[in-house]
Amino acid sequence: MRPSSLPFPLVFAWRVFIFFVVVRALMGVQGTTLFAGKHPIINPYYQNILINAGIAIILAVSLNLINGITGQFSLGHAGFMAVGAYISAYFSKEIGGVLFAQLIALISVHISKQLGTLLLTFQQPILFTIAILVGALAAGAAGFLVGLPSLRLRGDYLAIVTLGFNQIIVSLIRNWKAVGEASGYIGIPKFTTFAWVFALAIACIWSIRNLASSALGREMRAVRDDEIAAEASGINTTRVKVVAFVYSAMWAGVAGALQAHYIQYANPNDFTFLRSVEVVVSVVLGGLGSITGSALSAAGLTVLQEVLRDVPGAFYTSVALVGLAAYWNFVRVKSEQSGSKSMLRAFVVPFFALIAICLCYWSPQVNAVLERVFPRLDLPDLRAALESSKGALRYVIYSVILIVVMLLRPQGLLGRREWSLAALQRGRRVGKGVEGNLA
Amino acid sequence: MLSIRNVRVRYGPIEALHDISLEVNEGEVVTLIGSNGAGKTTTLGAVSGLLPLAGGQIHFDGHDITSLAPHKRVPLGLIQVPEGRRIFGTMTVAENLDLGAYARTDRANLRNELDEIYALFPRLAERRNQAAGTMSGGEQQMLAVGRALMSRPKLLLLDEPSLGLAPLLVKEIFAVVKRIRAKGVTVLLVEQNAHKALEVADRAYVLETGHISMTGDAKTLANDPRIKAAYLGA
Repeated sequence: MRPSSLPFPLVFAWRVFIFFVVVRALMGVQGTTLFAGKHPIINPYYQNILINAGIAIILAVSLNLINGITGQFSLGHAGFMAVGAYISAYFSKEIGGVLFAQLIALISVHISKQLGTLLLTFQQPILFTIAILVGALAAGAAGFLVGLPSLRLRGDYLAIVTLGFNQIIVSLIRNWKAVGEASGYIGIPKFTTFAWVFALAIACIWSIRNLASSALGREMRAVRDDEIAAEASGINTTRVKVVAFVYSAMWAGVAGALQAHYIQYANPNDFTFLRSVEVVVSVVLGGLGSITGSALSAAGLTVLQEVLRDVPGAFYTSVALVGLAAYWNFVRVKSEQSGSKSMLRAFVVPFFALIAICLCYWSPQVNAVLERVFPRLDLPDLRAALESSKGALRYVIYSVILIVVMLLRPQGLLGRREWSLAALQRGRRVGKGVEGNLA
Repeated sequence: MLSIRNVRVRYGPIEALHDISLEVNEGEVVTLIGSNGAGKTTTLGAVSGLLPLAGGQIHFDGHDITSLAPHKRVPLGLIQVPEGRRIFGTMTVAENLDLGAYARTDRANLRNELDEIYALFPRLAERRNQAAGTMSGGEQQMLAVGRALMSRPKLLLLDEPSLGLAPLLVKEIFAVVKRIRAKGVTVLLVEQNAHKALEVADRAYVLETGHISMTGDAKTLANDPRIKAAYLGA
């Protein structure tokens, strides 16, 4: 694969990484690591957002393999994530440390003491690697189990089965004594760092992108486009679907392992249907079948979550949203009819939406003016109401974003396109992405 | 080459094919005609393996394929062009053709095959990098046939190739059937357009509500008064 044909987020992430390395070198700050120590380049708050974004990217990109590329509908991604989180956490908390200590003892006694001490210094990364692998394998096995019924079921029925699987997993965990039942699993070692998440997110994008453009990926798209024709052409549709489920579930397991070892706590409530829907939302929003789209929208929604915590953030987001909607609406109207009258009509709704948003934002001031003119009026302070709702506001804006996107861009932000950096540099977006590169 | 003996197919509790037996010999074009719901497509589905049998046997080229999975029948040289074209809409023409050769192990000869198909359907060559779903119905049907030919079949199962096409294109499709036959491929053709089908076929079977009601030489059947009255509108 030529480097210029690598997907946009991957190259972009790589450049960001190089940028930080260079900045770090120029600053010459003492410290052994890039992101920890006394003066990290990225402060802990932003690191937290980036880690969450990385986990969201792994989830969305891997779900895209099932929902976007193979054309099946899974609503149980959080279930696979839960399997990965709990199994890997159980391993690193209860099994890994003891096993590792015994192994070191054996090596020190029988082989060489130096090797033993050397291994001891790398205990954490070795243990974490194994824990992630164990979690991924367990989630992959769960994916195999769920993939089997998907051979017989299509569309809505498959969605219901995967949803049921998610609920079963959550119920099992709620009744599993060893991992704290419904009160959650505490005391998981903190292994996840920004570097781990960053590297694994890149590995996820890279491997799924490669899979999608391989012969197997083409079979998956054939199953998506027309299952009967795929079968009649000699494609083993059963195998294709099971592979998609297993591989996707494995990455969900990795995401689960990363999350559990980051917040050092796992609660069954974090892996319910709602979490699955969040992943589906980012895949649909980014465009089913577009890896770039999934990565961008997963990162975007994570950032949005933070931005929407305060009222000014919500205000700017809403204004940007209205602008985007107005642009899409303008493009749509322009393609349907011409004439200045229709152009004007295209901006009527966004204009009033903007006024409504501004009225909410400046409602204390607006109220003061109006109450001076009409002293009898008793207007509600909308801004105060928004402020008191805090985080809940984001669910409203999430929904509005989804409605707007589905109305004006039903194919998602990117449709099925991919961005590659080379195409961006040429100043245009290459039309077909994965599809186009194969021709 | 293909022999179907006492085949029954059920959709749930309803039996769609009751005891069908037919033969296709090497090099022949055999057509199955019949009205809507007679079981023509069901018969093809049973042969290609898309539908499970409720009874009977199917032999192809010396193999018993009665309970073989569909993707294992394709490498034996048995391929179906499904009804209603069913091309892979988001992929390019070239990718669709590539997928047709999916089951083949001799990837080295693919280039020749591709050139042959482009020679057979010049329109496909012009549009090789176009998304297949954006082509016209006739072009899509050509692509569906071309995709099947990429598997280098011994027996081609053609299901309603003239479905939804303009009269001129229908003519072209039947000309293609003749050219395929000239290449030495055996064809089992299912068609509503009995007139055209009997014109290109050697032999024909008439299906009526899940039974074979008549069989014989295509020319003789075309002149049979009962067939004329029921299917040829004369």
